[in-house]
Amino acid sequence: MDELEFRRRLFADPNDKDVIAQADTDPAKQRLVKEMQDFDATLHSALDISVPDDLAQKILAKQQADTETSSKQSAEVRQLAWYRRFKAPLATAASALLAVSLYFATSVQAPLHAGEHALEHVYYEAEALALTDEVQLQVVNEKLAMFGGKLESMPGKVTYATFCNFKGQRSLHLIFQSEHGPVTVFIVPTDRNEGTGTDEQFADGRFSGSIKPGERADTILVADLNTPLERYETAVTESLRWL
Amino acid sequence: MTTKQKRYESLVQVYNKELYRFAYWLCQDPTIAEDLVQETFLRAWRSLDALQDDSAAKSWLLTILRRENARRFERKQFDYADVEQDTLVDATSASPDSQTEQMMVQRQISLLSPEYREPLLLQVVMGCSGEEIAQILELNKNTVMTRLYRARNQLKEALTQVTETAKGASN
Repeated sequence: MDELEFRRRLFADPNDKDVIAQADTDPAKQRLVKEMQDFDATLHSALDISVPDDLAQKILAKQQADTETSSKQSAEVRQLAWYRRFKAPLATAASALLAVSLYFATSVQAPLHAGEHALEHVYYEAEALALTDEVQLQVVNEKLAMFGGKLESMPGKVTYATFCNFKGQRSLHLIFQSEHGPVTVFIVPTDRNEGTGTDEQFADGRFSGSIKPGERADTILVADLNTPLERYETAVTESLRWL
Repeated sequence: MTTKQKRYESLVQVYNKELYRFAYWLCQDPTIAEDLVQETFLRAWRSLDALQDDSAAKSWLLTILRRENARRFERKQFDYADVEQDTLVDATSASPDSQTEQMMVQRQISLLSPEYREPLLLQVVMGCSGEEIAQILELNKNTVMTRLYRARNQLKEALTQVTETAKGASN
């Protein structure tokens, strides 16, 4: 192995045993080996960035949610096996029904853009609804403190708390477990300082939601249909304090 | 707990940190890195039966992750997650001096072109051998070794330059 070859191989892998053996009788080569191994230690520690603490937990939670959804789906498929025979006529009927109900749904409810966005957002992060590990209120408040707010309490165990982008506004996305199932809460800071808008309600076939405009932030709740949203909305907005 | 579940959990425990670091240096964004790792493991779960031999797990996961990363550029980005998350990148370091040195090294690594950076990450972060890197990147081993050589060579030169400039400035 000539000098150049030695250097090339050492740089490609400072732990290559054949290359290190070459340096045995040559102090200059030994120095270079030492230098490159030190350099690798430097690289190693520079690359060794910290990893989010709960990453493994989150990965497992996501897999659990995935497993539950897919086993539920296969149970539904088994249950509905008889339906295969009527597939085509039923599908036609279903799509007609969907079209009709969509027409009525949209014509009865005024288009609520924030509500639509909230629903879309909940569907997009639907996996988060299945999380069960508790997020301490303190952790929620550390995040909320960035908007100058604080929650005295929550009407259920918080299982999700993250910053998100709500129609371009950096907001807090929470999920707590109520006796009626998971309730999603968006706390969306506003710069509206005087006066508040009016309360709004929105819904689709699965979720209903409410918007409570506030002086410092709007509070938006989304939960399964038939959840007494008003009760939770009052509980959340009343425990919200601003600095 | 099923055997499949146990096998999966041990894969997550063994590889989640390394994969996150690799993903982070690949895309240089903590939020995207986390998404990539989550998605990688979810896909791994769904096709865990395809992994015959656990000794091939690392290469297999890396292949999935690289594919996910490539897919990221293909599909329209759904911009819900906030980019400036509350995650700060801090390498575990002690003195202010070593911190500055570390930042310099990190900066130079991020400036490396991807074709040099990626094999280096696979080697240093993931502990992959030349053969494994060649397989993951679908290159021949000589090409991989040349890129590794160039990666370290460039980094060393760049860092020597930076240090000398810093010395010059303080003189």
